[in-house]
Amino acid sequence: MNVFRFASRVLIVTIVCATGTLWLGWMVVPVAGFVYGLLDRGGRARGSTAAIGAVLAWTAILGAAAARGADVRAVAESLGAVMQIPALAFFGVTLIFAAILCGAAAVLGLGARDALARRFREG
Amino acid sequence: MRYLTPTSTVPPKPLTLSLAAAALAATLYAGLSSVGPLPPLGGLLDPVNGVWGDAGTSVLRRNAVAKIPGLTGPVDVRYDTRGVPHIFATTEEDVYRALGYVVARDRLFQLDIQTRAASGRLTELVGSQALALDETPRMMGMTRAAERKFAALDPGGSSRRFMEAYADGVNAYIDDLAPEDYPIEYKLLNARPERWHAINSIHLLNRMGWTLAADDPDHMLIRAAAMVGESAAESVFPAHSPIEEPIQPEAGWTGPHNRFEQIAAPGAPDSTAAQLSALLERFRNDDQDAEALRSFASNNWAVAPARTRNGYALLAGDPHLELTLPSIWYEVHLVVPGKLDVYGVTIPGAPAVIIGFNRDVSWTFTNTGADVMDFYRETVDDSLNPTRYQVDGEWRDLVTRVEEYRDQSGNVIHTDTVRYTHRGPMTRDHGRWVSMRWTVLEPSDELRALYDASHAHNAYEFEAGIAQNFWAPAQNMLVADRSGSIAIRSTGHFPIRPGDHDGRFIFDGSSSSNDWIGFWPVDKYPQSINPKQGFLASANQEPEKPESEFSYLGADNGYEVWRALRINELLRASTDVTVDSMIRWQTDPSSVRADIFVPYFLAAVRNEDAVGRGDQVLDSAGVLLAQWDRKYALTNQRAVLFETAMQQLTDRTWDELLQNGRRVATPSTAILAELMSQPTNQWWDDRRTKDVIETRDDILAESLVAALRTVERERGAPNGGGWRWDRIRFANIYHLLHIPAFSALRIPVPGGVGTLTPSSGSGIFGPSWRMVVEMGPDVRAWGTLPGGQSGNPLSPRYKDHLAFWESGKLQPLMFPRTSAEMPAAATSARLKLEPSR
Repeated sequence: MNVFRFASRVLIVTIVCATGTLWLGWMVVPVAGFVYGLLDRGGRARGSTAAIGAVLAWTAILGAAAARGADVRAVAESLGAVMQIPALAFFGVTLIFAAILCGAAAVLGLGARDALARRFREG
Repeated sequence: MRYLTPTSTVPPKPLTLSLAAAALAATLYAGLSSVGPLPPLGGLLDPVNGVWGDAGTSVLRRNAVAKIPGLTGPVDVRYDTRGVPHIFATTEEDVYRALGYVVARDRLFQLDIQTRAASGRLTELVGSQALALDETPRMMGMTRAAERKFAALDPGGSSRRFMEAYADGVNAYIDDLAPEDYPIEYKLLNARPERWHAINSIHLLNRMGWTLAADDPDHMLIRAAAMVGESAAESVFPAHSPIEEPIQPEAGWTGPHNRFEQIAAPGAPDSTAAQLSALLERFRNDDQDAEALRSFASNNWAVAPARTRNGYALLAGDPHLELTLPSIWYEVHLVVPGKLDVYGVTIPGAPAVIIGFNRDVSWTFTNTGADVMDFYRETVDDSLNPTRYQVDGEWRDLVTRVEEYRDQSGNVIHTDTVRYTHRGPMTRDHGRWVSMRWTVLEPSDELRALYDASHAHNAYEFEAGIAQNFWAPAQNMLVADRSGSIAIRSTGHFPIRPGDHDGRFIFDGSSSSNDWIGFWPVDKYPQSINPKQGFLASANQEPEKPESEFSYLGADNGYEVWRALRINELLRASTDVTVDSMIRWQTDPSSVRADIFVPYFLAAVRNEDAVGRGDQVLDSAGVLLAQWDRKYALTNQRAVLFETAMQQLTDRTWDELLQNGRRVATPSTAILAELMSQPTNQWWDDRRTKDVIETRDDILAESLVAALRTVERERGAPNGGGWRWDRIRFANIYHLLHIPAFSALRIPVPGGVGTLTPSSGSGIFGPSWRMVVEMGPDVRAWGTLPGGQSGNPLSPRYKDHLAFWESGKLQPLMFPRTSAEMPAAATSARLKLEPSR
C-alpha cells in the first residue's frame, strides 16, 4: 500500500469519526472502525490505520475548539490534576481511548469480513 | 457481494483477534460503565459532549443574547471587570428572573447541589453514599417545614412572585443548555442538572438556619453535668459569659466587664444528666476543637460620622462561614429605575441581596447564636412504633411522614418514617423519644424581610422592616445610613419559655405547661441606634448585659468573646476612622486572648522558679514566649508556642471532662480566664496524677514545657524557620465535591484563635465576604470574597479574587445608576435578556 493510499484511508476514517462524533457522540468511533475493517479490501494494517484516523479526528475536533477560543489547555490541566496525571497525559488518555476503540474495532471488522468471506466461499 | 471476496492481505490471526476483542470490550466497558470513582469514560472523554466541551464555557461570551419565558421587557446585564453582573430591568419580577438566569449561568452546579443537600436529596445525585447526609435535614423536619412555609406564602405576595420569577430564570438557562455545556461536575458525576423549583429558595434558607441556628448549648451543659455534676457544669457552662462587652452598648461602660465568680469544683457524675445526654446523642459534636469552632462566626461594626475622617458613616461586614469554591456568596447589582437599586451578595438560590447596600443604607449581619431549639421527652404509646403521644393525660395522634430516598435512577433505596408532635419532629435515641421545637421550622418569610431591607431609606426603616418577617436564623443586623445614623438589633424570633426555664435542659413533653408561650416582642430585642459612643460592633458576643430582662439568648456558650473585645478596643481608640483603617482592622493580627493569657504563663515561670520547681526547659520556654509581640503575622515565629501551650492548658485543665480519652464538652476560654483568678481551684488538679494536687501555676508551667517540647520536636529550632506562622496555619478552601484540583489549599493566612480574622483547626472556616461601605452623598464600597464569581473551575474568574482576600485587600465595587454609567472599558461582557415569544 503506497503512502497516498494509506493517507487517503486515514483521511476517510478521520472524516467519518470526526463528523460522527460531532453529530452522534463517541460511540460512533468503534462503529466506524468496525465498518472500515469490514469494508476496506486492500489495506494491510487496518487496525493502525483506523486508530490513527480516530486520533486525528478527535485532535481535529479539539484543535477546532481551541481555534474558536475554547480553553482546551485549562481542561487538560484541570482534569489532569483531578486524575493526578500531567495535562499532556490527560490529552493522551483521550486520544488513546479513541485509538483503541477504532483500531480494535477495525481488526474485528477485518476478522468478521474474513469469516463472512469464508462462509460465502463455502456456501 | 463483491466486498465479501477474500481480502488481499493475510487475515488476522486468532490471537490478534482475541486481543482486539479484549481491548475493545474493556474499552467499551470503561466507556459505558463507572469504574471505581471514575464516571463512564466515553461520556467524560468525548471531545464534544464530555469534559472537553467545557473548554468553550470557561469565559463568558463578550456579547450574548438569551430569552426567558415570562420576561415582560428586555433586561440589560453588564458584567464589570470583576465579573459582577449589573442587572438593569424595568420590573422587579424581571430583575429576579434575570438574577436566576445569571446565577445559573455562573453557578449552576452549586445551585443544584446546595439545594439537594438542603432538601435531603443528594442520593439522587451521588447515590447511597450520601444517605446519612440526606437523613439529617429530613429527620430534623426541614423538608416538611419548607413545604409548609411555601404553602403558607401569599401567592400574590412579593416573596412567592420573586421565587417563581427566579425559577423562570434558572430554568430558562437550564432548558437552553446543551449537554456539552453542562458544568464539569455533572460530567464527573455522570449526572445532569435538575430543573429549579421555587420552593428550593426556602430549602436553601432553611439550610442557612441549620448552619447558624442548630448549635444548641444544651448539649455541652448536659454532657458536662453527666461528668462533674450539675453545680460544676453550670459554673463552667454558665448562662452568661464572665467577660463581656455586649452588642447593645451600656452607658458608662468604657471597656469590657469581668464578672468573675467562684467556679464550683468538679463533683460526682450526675446520673440523670447522663440519661439526658444519651437522648441527645444524635446532636452530639466532636468537642476536641471546640475553641476553634467557637472562634469562627462573623464580625461587623459601624462608625458614626463624628468619629470618621470624612464625616460619613462607615460600615464593615465580615461574615465568617465555611469556605468553599465556588464561594458561598455571589456578588450582584440589581437595578429597577425608581424602585430598586441594590448591590451586595446573594446566596445562589435566593432571590434577594442578603448583605449589601442601596443608595441610602448599607447593612450586614453576624449570627446571634440564640438558643431557639428546645427538646421534650415524650411519652408514647409504643416504644418502637408509636402512633400517639401523651399531653396533659390525653393521647394525641402523631403526624407521620414517610421520607423516600432515591438513587440516580430514581429507585427508592431507603425510607424513613418521621413522626411529628405538635412541637416538631420526634426522634428515638437510646429507647426514648424526644421531640424538638425549633424556630427554623416555624412559618416565616425571610425573603420578605430581605426585600424590605433592599428598599429601606434609612436605618429606622431597615430595622423595622426586617424585624417584622425575619424569624431565623437570628442575626445581629447592623445598618448605617446616608444621614449618618447607625443601628443594630439582634433580630429573629426568640421563644418565651414558661416559668424559670431557659431552654438549657430537656423539658417534660407530657405537660403542655412546658410549651413555649410566645415570642419576645421586638422592643425587647437587644438593640441600639446612634449610641453616644459613636460606634457599634458585634462579633457574636452576648447581646445584652445579664441584668437585662431579656438576657438569655443562649449565645454565651456559643462563641468566644475575644473578637468582640478587640473590635471595641480598636474603635474606642480611634476618632479619625477611615475606609483604610476599617479595611486594615478586618485582618488585624492582635489578640486580646493572648494579652490575657501570656502574662499568666510568664508569671507561672517566675513563680515556679521562685519555689525551686523551675528548670532550664521552662526558663527557655518563658524566654521564647516573652519574645512574642502577641501578633499572628505571617512571619511571626512565636505564636505557635503560645497556641500549643493553650492547647496543652485546655487539655490539662479540663481533664475532668474526659470520657474514654475524649473530652465531651469544653468550656470557653473566657471561663479559663475566670479560672485564672482562682489559682487553687480544684479544677486545676490533674486527676490523672494521683499523688499530686496541681495548682494553676503547676498546670501553666507543665503546659508551657510540653508545648516547647512538642513544637521543637515537630518544627525544629525556634529560629530555624519552622516556627513561622505562614508554615503552620492555613486556609483550606475546598471545592464543593472536595476535589483537590478544584480547591485552593494551604493558603497561609494571618490571624489565630481569637483574632478578628480567626484561623485555626482545619482551616475550612473563615471570612466569606469582606465589605466596607462609606455612606457619603455618593455611596462608595469595597469588597472581596475568597474565590471568584464563576463556579466553573476552568474559568479565570473561578478564584480571581482570592489574591485580594489572601492579602486582606478589598476591591472597589462599581455602583452605576444606569447602564450608561458603565463605560465600555469597565464592561467585560454583556448579556441581553429578551422575552421569549
